[in-house]
Amino acid sequence: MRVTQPFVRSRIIVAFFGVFFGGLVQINAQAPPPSSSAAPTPAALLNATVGSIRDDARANVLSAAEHLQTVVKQGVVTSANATTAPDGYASRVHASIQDYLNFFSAAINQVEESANGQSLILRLNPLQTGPSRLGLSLTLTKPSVSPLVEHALLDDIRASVVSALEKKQGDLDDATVGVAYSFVTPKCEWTATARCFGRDPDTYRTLFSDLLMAGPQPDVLAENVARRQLQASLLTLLPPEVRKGVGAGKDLLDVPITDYGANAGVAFQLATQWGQIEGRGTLKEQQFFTELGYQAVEDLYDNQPQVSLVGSYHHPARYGGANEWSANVELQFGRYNINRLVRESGGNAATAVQLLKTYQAANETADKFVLVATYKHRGAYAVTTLDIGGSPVTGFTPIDAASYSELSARLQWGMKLKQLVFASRPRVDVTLEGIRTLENTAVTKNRWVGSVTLTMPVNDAISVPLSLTYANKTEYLDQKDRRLSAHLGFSYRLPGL
Amino acid sequence: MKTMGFFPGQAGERVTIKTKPNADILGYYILVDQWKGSPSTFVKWNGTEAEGAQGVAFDLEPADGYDVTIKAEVKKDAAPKIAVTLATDSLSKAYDVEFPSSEGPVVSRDWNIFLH
Repeated sequence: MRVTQPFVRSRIIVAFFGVFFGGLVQINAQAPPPSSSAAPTPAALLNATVGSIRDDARANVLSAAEHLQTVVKQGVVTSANATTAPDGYASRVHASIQDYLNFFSAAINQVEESANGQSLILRLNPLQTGPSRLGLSLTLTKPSVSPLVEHALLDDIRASVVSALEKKQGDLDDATVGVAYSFVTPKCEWTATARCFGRDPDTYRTLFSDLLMAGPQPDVLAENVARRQLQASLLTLLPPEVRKGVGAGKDLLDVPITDYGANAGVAFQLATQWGQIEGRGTLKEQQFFTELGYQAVEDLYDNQPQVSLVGSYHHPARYGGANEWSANVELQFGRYNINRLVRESGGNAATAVQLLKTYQAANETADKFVLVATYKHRGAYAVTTLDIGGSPVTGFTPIDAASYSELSARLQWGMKLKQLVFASRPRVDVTLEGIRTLENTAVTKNRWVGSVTLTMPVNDAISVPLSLTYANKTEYLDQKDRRLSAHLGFSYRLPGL
Repeated sequence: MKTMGFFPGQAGERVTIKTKPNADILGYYILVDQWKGSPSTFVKWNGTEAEGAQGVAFDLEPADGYDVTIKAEVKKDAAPKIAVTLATDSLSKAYDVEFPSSEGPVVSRDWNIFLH
């Protein structure tokens, strides 16, 4: 039944509230009555479907934390909205090279315009041979004039000259080529004898799916039976012509509540009870799988050994500065990872489920080793004259910038020790961080600082950290006259935090 | 636990299920319960089996109905989704199903197949 006449609508609403508030229905004696917040307004009722009523009731049952999370996410989305229109550069270049992109479409994985509209990124299909994966990308960026050039101009001519130089640069003049190599096992199996590498979800999905299938399942039989009865009642309650449509493929969840005519109140209550049952079932499942330690699965995944090498070469436009290249190497792993789970379970998924709980209880999955090293090099950059419209610019100071290179590295490692102190296991953390820079061949910065921290727990709330810190130069430490310093601390965690 | 749709079918028809998870789905499996008064496990698959071109399939037998449930292990603070296609000989429907992390670490979604 479709409601098109205001008169008919008002009759349905009156009928609905008559039935709804009359309390004529008591399908499931154990189901709680719909909360007052679920009471519909006439306008909401006209737009409501079985599915939307069910969804509202289900959401009411789920934790306040979930609602809060949703609100926060919506806030983030809203605040991330651009307040100004994106630059037209990326879309213009995208349109102008579209014919070429079509020609190479078999090799191109993705063409992406940056959010600010100033870059167009082309990613090629990754090349994979065994565990080796190579990814290539080309980024075209809106050419700009380097600050070096800007600052070499007198104030009174700067804006006009910069504008003229920008017009001399072509759309394709600023390009960056990126190369990424990673070591990724194509598929990790329970029978794997060698370690699996990488953090591609496809690698481990079969294994994780087995893990889920092999574990015990929550008892939600009562909820399943109850909601199935409610669903059957909602189907039976439909007028024959509407029920026929559901049988032909229209979803019961999409049926407007007004289609129930005089039974709309009954249908509303049934859909509400259905949502409440699903909400309670969801909470039961959540608690069940949390107690089994399934949260540890993601930590094990994050602790898988990962090796990656990333390189890039940036060729700016003529007045955009010097060419740059960089290389980055990264190695990460945690001691408790999927490889360990597979090995300790003997390749048996059911045994692995038991181990998950053990790992979770021992809080071992936070142990991690991280090594990151980056090298950057910027070439020398010289501009002797600026030429606009065939004549040299006066008021420009020639540029002769030296080359620059930088090596930075960071190492982090931490683990719990086996020895017990006050019935708890102490933790040791090691860090090493440094940077070395050169201009031409002269070292301009050389800073390396390392520390070792031993944290001894006294009880759940109190711990005593002892740290030793070494720096290659005294000025990098608090005490200016020594390269080695030691700190003894006291840490108290406030209850409930 | 959430029913995502109602799907009509007839005894003798074949139901085909195809899936495509996003990167926030760590693992998942598909469980089919047959209802004859109460539910009993009819068939189950590792979810990755349904990602092939053929998907996975089962034949409807005379019964009160069937529940097709997908249980997925999901990443925290992520947007896990699985694109699901349910089809019989006469009807095919595509769903883009969210498995909210807030309900994790394991989230289930199901479809009710009713026989007519």
